[in-house]
Amino acid sequence: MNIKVYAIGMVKDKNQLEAIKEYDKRLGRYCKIEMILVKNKEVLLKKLSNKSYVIKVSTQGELFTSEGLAEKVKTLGVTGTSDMAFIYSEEHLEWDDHLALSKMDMSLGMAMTILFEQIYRGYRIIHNQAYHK
Amino acid sequence: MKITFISVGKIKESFYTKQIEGHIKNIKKYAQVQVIEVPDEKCPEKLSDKEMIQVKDKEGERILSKINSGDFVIALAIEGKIISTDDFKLLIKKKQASSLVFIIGGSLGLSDKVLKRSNYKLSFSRLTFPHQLMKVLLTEQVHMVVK
Repeated sequence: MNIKVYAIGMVKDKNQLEAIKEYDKRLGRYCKIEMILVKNKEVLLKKLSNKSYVIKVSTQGELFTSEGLAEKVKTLGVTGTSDMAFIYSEEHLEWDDHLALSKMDMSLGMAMTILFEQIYRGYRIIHNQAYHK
Repeated sequence: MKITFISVGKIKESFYTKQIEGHIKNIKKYAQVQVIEVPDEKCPEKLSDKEMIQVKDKEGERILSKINSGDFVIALAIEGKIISTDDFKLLIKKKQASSLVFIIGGSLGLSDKVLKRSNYKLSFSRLTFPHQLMKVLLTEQVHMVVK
């Protein structure tokens, strides 16, 4: 699976970047993943591939479980989807799924860390591998 | 305002501990803060239900020993109430005269006794997070609402 995680804005905190990098590294054995931070919606839409399965993530979306995300990634994989795009944004845009990590606001770096960690957790669940809580 | 954070076990990842330290430093501008880490129990992968309860009870006793009778205790629990930042802010504001205690359990969660003692069960998400990440998320959120 090719996974791209998009957001509008910047992550400057080096500890947040390091946390994201750690999950990015661990995900290397399961998928191709990339974080793409852009200046605005226009740039984002230009970069977004039209064959991607788009999951919008915002506080307005539907709450979901880690097991639910694992199931989603697994199902998409076996039904022939090879590109997934997570878009963390409150902007109006087209999506296939609209999910919420939380109903609370958080820093962009925190949201990116959670997304990477949850995708990693999802693969551990798919492969029946233990992972701490 | 007095805020105490109680969690179980040490956090090893420096990219998490440094973030938590940063948030705590910021919260200290607005409140008197205490951070308590009680030791965790060894927790192998395969535990029976009974052993899991024992682990949670032992950790729970350590947590309860740090709580005073008048404290307003907010336990972080996946089945707790999911609220927005605005509602969280209102809750904290309403309780600002009391001594607030936030509790994050260990990898198995909190014991029944701790949940029973808590005055509010709060959930950030339906997702399962490592408790290290939960502490970063909580301290960031508390900073957002006290400032």
